[in-house]
Amino acid sequence: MIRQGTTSLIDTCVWMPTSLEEAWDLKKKYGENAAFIAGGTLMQTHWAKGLNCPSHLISLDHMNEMKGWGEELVNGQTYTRLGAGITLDFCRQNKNLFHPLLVEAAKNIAAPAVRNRGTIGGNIANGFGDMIPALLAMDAFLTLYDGNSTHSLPLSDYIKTNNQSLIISVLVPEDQTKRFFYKKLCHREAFTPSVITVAGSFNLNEKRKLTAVRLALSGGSTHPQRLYESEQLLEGSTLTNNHLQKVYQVINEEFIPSTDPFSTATYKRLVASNWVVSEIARLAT
Amino acid sequence: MDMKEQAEVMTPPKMELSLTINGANYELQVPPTKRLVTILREELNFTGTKISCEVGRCGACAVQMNNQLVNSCLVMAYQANHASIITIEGLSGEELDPIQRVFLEEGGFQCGYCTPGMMMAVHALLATNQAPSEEQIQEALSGNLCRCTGYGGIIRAVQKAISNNNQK
Amino acid sequence: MPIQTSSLDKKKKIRPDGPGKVTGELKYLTDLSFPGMLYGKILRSTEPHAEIQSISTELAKQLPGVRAIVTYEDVPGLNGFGLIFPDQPVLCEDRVRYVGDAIAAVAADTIEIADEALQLIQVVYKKLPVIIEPEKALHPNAPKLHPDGNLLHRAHYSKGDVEKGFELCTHIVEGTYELPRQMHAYMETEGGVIVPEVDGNLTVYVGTQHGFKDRYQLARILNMNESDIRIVSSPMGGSFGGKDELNVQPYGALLALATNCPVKIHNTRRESVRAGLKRHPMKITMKTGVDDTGNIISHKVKIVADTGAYATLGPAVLDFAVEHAPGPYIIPNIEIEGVSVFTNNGVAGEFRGFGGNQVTFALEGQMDRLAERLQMDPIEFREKNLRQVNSPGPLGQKVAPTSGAKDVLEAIKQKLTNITNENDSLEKWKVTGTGVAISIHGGGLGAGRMDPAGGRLSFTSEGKIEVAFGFEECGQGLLAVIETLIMEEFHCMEDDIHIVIGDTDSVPVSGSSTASRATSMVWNSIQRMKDTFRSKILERATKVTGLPVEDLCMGPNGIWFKDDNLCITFVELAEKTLHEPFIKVETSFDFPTSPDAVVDGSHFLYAFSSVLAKVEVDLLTGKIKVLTLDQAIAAGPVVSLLGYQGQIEGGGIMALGYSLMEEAKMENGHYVNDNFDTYLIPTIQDVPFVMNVEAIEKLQDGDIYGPRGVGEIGTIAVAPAIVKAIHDATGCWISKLPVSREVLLEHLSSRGEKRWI
Repeated sequence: MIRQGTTSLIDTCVWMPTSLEEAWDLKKKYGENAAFIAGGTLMQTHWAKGLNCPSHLISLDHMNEMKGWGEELVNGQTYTRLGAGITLDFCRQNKNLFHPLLVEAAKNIAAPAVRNRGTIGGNIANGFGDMIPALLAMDAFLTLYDGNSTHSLPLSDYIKTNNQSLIISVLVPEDQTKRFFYKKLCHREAFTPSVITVAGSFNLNEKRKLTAVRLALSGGSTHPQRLYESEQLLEGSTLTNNHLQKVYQVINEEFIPSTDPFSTATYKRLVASNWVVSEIARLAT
Repeated sequence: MDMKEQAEVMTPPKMELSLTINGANYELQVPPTKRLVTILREELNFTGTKISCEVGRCGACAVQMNNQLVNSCLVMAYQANHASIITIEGLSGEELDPIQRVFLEEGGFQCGYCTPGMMMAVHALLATNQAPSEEQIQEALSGNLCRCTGYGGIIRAVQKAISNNNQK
Repeated sequence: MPIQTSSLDKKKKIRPDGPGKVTGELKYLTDLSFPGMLYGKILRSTEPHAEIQSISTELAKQLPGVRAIVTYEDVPGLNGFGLIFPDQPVLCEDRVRYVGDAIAAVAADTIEIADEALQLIQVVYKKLPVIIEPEKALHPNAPKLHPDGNLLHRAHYSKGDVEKGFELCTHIVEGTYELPRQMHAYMETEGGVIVPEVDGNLTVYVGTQHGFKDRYQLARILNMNESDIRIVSSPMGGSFGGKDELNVQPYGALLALATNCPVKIHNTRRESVRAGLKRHPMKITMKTGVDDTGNIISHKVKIVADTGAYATLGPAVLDFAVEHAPGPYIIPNIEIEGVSVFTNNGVAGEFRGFGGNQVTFALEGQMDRLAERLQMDPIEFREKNLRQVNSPGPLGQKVAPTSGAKDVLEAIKQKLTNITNENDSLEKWKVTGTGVAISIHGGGLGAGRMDPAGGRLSFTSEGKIEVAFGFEECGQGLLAVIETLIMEEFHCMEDDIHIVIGDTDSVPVSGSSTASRATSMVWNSIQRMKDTFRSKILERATKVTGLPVEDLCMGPNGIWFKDDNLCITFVELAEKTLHEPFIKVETSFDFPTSPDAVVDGSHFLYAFSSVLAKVEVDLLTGKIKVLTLDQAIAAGPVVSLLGYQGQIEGGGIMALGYSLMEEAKMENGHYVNDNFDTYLIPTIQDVPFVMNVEAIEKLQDGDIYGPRGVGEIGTIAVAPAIVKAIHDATGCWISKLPVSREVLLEHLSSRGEKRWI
C-alpha cells in the first residue's frame, strides 16, 4: 500500500477521467482532497515522507491532449510541442525530436526507472523540477487548462504564481541559433536532487555582442528563478574579464537560493555565479 | 454529455487488476493504490523482486513493465493494469540468461540483494543497446544501488556480456 | 586483469550461492512466509530524551486484526540487550534515550493494521534535556543518561614521555579530525520471521553475524533455555557489522510467543535508519612531532567518540581506535587517551573497520602534513618510520612477524610511478591530484576477549563431505571460501560438498562472522581437521575396497587409487558403510592472541593496505570526482578471488562514500536524512570505472596462521588517500569528513578573482 509517513493509506480512490473537463470537474468536486497524478514518482516519495496524500487521485493517464509531440506554428514562430504526459526518458532518448538542451536536462534527472515513469508535466507542476530552468532558458510556453479554456502562458510567468491549471503541453521555440548551457550540481554524480541547476542561452551577433540572454536557476529546495538583472547586464555587451566579474557579482546578489540541511545559500550563490560566468565565457569566446 | 458519468473510478478496497507476469496472466482484486512490489512479493510470492528503500531510490525492486525498467515500489496497481511485467524470475528459462551467467563469472554481486533489480536494469540496457559505452553503462545502472561490490564486478560483468554479444 | 596475484585463475570460481542469487530463487529470511503468519511492527520513541509518563495500548488493542501488543510488562526475562552489557531496554518502561528506543510492539493480520495500531498507542512523554554533544555530556552538570554517568568507556595507552619527546622535535603538527556518523546501508533492512514451534521451542529466522550470541541474548530476554531457541541467521542482504547486535528479534519473539503464531517483522528503510547502529562519529586530536631528519619522536592522541544512547560494542570500538592510533609506524613516545561518551544521538556500534577508519584518517593526515612540513616525499617519510618484520604491534605487544606494511607501501609506490602527477585535465576549471595512504588492521576480537573458533567435518550417509561452521553469509563470500578450501584440501568437486552454516541447531561454535576473522578461522579449522578426516575416510575406503590405504587418496567424486583411477565414489562408500559409525571430526580453539598484550583487545594478526587515489576537483563547485582508487593488500594468501576483489573494491567504495558524501546527520537527536533519497551512498557513476586490487599473498617463513580476512581492510586507508589527493590538487588540507565542497570552494575562492577569459 502507499504510505503517508508511517500510515498505510488503504482508502485512496483513483479516478480515470478521459477528458480535460472531466478531470477538472473532479478536482473541483473534491478540492483539497484530490490531486492530479501522472507518473506519480515524486508524489509517492512525498507521501512517504509524510506529506498529505489526498483521498482522491485523478489520473491523467487517459488524457489524449497530453500525449504525443509535434510541431506547432504560433504567430509565425515554429514550436516543438511536448505533451505533458511525455516521460522524461522519452525526452532523453529522442535527440532527433527535441532540442539538445531538453535532452540534456532530462538526462540529468533521477535514473532510468524513474524517468520511464516521470513526466515532463509532473516535473514542471511540482514546482522544483530540473526541466524548468532549461525550459526557461528557451522561452518555453505552457498550454494550460483552467476549467474554462485552453490558453498559453510563458513558463517564466507560470512560475511566478501558484498556478493550479492543468498543464497540457509545453511549447518550445525551435531555435537552432542560440548558444546554451545546462549544468546541475548534486551531492553525488547521479540520482539525487539538485543542489543547484543553472541553464542559460544567448545569441552572439556579428559584432560579438550578446543578445537575447536568458539565465535561469533552480535547485532541490530553491524556487526556479530568472535572473533578469544579470541578463540585462549581459544584453548587448561584449565580454571582457572585467565585465564578467561585474556579472559575477550581480548574479551573486540577484540569485536567492535557500539554505537546506546539506548546503548553504552562500555556497549555492557562489556556484551559480561561477557556473553562469564560466559557461558564458566558454560559449562566447 | 455528462463526463462525470463516464469517468472510470477505482474505489478501495478493491479493483479488478489484470496483468501479465513473466508471460502468465493474473487477475487479482486489490486496492488501486497497492504498490506493484507488494503485489509481486506478498500476493503472488515473486520474492525475487526485493524491497529496500520504497521510494524509488535504490532499484532493488526494479522490474520491467511493458519492456521498460520501473521501480515496482513506485507503480501503483491501477498503473500496472493490463501491463506486461517481467521480474527476475522471468529472466531465465531452462538455462540462465547470459546476463546472469556473466554476473556469476565476474562477481557482479555479493549479498545479492540488489542483484535482481540490477540485472533487470542491465537487461533493459542491453535490449536496446548491444554495445553501450562506459558512460551509457553508468547511466543505465545509476538508479540501482549496490553496497557490496563497489560496482567493480558489475562493470566487469556487463563488459563481458557485451563482448560475448560481439563475438556471436 | 584488474587484480594481480599469483595462480589465481583457478580461484575465480562461481560462488555456491550465486545461482540462487542471480535467478532470484534464493530466499532471504525476509522473503520467508509461513502459514498463519502475522506481521509485527515496533513503536519507537518520538523523543530523543524523555520520561515516559504513561503508555496506553487500549485503543490499539480494540482495532480488529490486532492480535497482540507487548510492552515492558510483557518481557518475561531481562528487559535489556547489548553485546557487551545489556543496557538497552528491549521495551522502555520509564525513559527513552534516543529516537530508536522501542516502547511497544504489535502483531496484526496485515502490515496496514499493525501500522494503524501503532498510531493508536498513546505514549505521554515528559521531555528531558537532549544531549547531542559528547563534550557537553561529560560536563559534571549534564543529566546522567545511565546510572554510572555519561562516560561509557575510557581507554588509555602510553609509553615513553610525549612531552619530553616534543621538546626534541623540530616540527610538530597538531590537528583535530572530525569523522561523521556513517550508515551501513545494507540493501536488505533488518527482518525475518520468528516461529513458535509445536514443542514450545522458538525458531528465529533473522539475519545476524553471530547466531549463538543472538540465542544467548534472546534466552536471557525470554527467560527460556538457550537449547529451546534455534537461530537461523543466514543468508543476509548485507550487514557490515550492522546486524551483529540484536535488532528486531526480541520483538518478533515476544509477539510470536504472545500469539502462538509466526510473526514477520521487516523494517522499512526509515525504521532501519532510526533504530539501527551507525559508525561512531569521532573527534580526534593528534599532536605529532618529528626530528629534523624525519623520525617521528612523539605522538599524542585524544579520541572522543559519540556512542549514542547505549553501549553495544562501543567500548571495543574505542579500544580498537586507541590501538590503531600509532598505525604501522615506530614511535618512541606515545600517549593515547580515548573516551566513548553516551549522548541522545543514534546508537553507534560495530561497523566494518571498527574505529580503525576514523583513527587512520587522522594518523595519515598527520603523516602527510608532517611530510609537507619536512619538505619530504610523503612515501619516503612513511618508509623512514615504518614498522619492520619483527617490530612489535602498535601497543608494543608481540605480534606475528609480517612484512605487510613494507610490502603494501612498496606496491603502491610502483603504482604511483605509473600514474601521471601532472594536471592532465583538459577542462579549464578542473585540476587533478594524487594521494597515498596506508593502514594496519587487526583481525579477531583481540586479547582478553572470548574469541572461540571451530568447525566440523563429517561424512554423511548420502556420501557428502559435510562441512559445518557457526558463521553467516552476509554476502562477503564465506560459502565460496569454505567450498574452495575444502576442494583444495580434498581435491573433491563442488557436488561432493555440503556446507552447513547459519543455524544454531546444526553448527558448531565458530565465534562471530565479524572482525575479519571468518576466512581465517575456516582455514585454521580445516588445517586442524583435514588429516584426521582424510585418514578416517581412506581407512573406510580401504575396508570396503580392500586396496592398501597408502595407495588411496581423496579426489573428484570419491576415492582414487594411485591418483589415476576412481575406485569408489563417495556415494558408494556411504552406501556400503551405512552400519559403520558416523565419521565426524570437530575442532575448537581460540583465535590466536598476543602472548604479552597488556591492553585488552589488542591484536596478534594484522593485515595491511595501501591506497592510491587520484581525484579531479572542480574549481567552480568544489566537487570531487575520484578517478582512480587502487589498493594493495597484504593479508596472506587469496582464498577466493572474486570474494577478495569484491571485498576490497566494495570496501573501497564504501569508504569513498564516507569520504565524500555520507553522513547520517542528526539535529537535536533526530535523523535528518532517513532514506536513500537524502542519505547518499555511491552510485555506479561515482566510482572509477576501473579499479585495481593487488593482493600481496606473501607470509613470513614459518607463519602458521594462513589467510587473514579482508572484510574490513579495504575500507581503512581510502579516506586519507582521497583527502591527500585533494590537497595535491588544490593545496587545501581537509580534516573533516565527508569533505565539504563548501569549505573547499571557500578556500579556492580566497585566492582572488578568476580570469574568466
